[in-house]
Amino acid sequence: MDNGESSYRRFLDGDESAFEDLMKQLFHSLVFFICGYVHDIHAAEDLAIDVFSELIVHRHRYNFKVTLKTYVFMLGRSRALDYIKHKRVISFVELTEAEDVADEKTLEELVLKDARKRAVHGALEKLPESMRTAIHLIYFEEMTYEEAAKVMKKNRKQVDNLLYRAKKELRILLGEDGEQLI
Amino acid sequence: MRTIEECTAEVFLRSEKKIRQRRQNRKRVLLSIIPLVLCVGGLATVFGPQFADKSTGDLSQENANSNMAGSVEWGGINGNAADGNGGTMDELYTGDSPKDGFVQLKIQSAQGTVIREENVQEIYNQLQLTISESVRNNGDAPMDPTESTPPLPPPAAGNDTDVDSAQNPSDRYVITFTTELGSEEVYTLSENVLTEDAAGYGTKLDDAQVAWLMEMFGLE
Repeated sequence: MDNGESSYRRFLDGDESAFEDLMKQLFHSLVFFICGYVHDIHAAEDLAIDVFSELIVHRHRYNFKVTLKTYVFMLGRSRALDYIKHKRVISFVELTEAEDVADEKTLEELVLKDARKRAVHGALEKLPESMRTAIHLIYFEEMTYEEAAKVMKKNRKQVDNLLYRAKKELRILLGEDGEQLI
Repeated sequence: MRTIEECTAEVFLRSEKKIRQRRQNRKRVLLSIIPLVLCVGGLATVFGPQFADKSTGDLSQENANSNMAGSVEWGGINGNAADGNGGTMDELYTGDSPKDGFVQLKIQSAQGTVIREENVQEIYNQLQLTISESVRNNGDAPMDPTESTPPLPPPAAGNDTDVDSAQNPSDRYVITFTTELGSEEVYTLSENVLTEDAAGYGTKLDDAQVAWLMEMFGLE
């Protein structure tokens, strides 16, 4: 699997339908990843659309040195962090909250087809953000340590340490069942 | 949650909007730069020559100062510094010299026709050289011309160069140099003696030097 590079190359050569293939490959994963930061499915969707429109507007910014998935996730992370920094804190509970939760569950099922992975993802919410992101990128998105390090703007060793600590925490959170899941 | 097709359509819509926005921004920047460039170009054509004149004027002033430095040297060589006259001569040629360049010389007749029009700075430099040469040739201290010549009427202000021959047209001339800032340096040429009026000391010229100065000022 080339993580969308060939589709993007075809799109750059003028084949607009290739972009739809690219969206099918990466869009839901990206929304799911951003949702881990912003905890709002609609905002995550909006930010993911922004990331993909960036691929069309600045066509030659991506230099094919990293995988397209890594590049898109890097953009997604920075957008998500910007969003968190600038968003206003709303104290009241939105009426659509219940609907959002349902949407999030659907997306989770869509991205994490494996029930075992979904069980781990449920426990991830209790972990600190950096550990959660590391687990998400390596176990759910199946990225290499180097790719995950690039997305998180950390080095390989730091990602390694985060994963080790995250696994330790998860073993405690999931108990004996978790031992098998991880 | 939107379907993937809806999201793809939204992506294309947003990217088109962003591209249009970028084009507009680029146009706006260009439109703001063009008048700026035109303004700078206009200012350069209006004020450029004046700046160029000023810089060349500064250079000629530097040359004049270096000539004056030469004239200071002879004051020390001929041994007049000890009796105090050398110090006065230093003031005559360096301390009182104007720091700004002299304006263009223009001599007109009463009818308004231009007789002469040339660079006063050049004439001023030549005058300084003549004085220094004269003192070097004579080998004596600058003399006090008030002892030998009667007091002169004050020079007419505002003129670039004023050649006054009211009392004795063939013997006495008052030469006034005026700078752009209005400061003046007045010299009197009387019976082979050239006097710097502000300092009150003069130097004796030989006949050839007087003839040369007369020719330079167009007084013959």
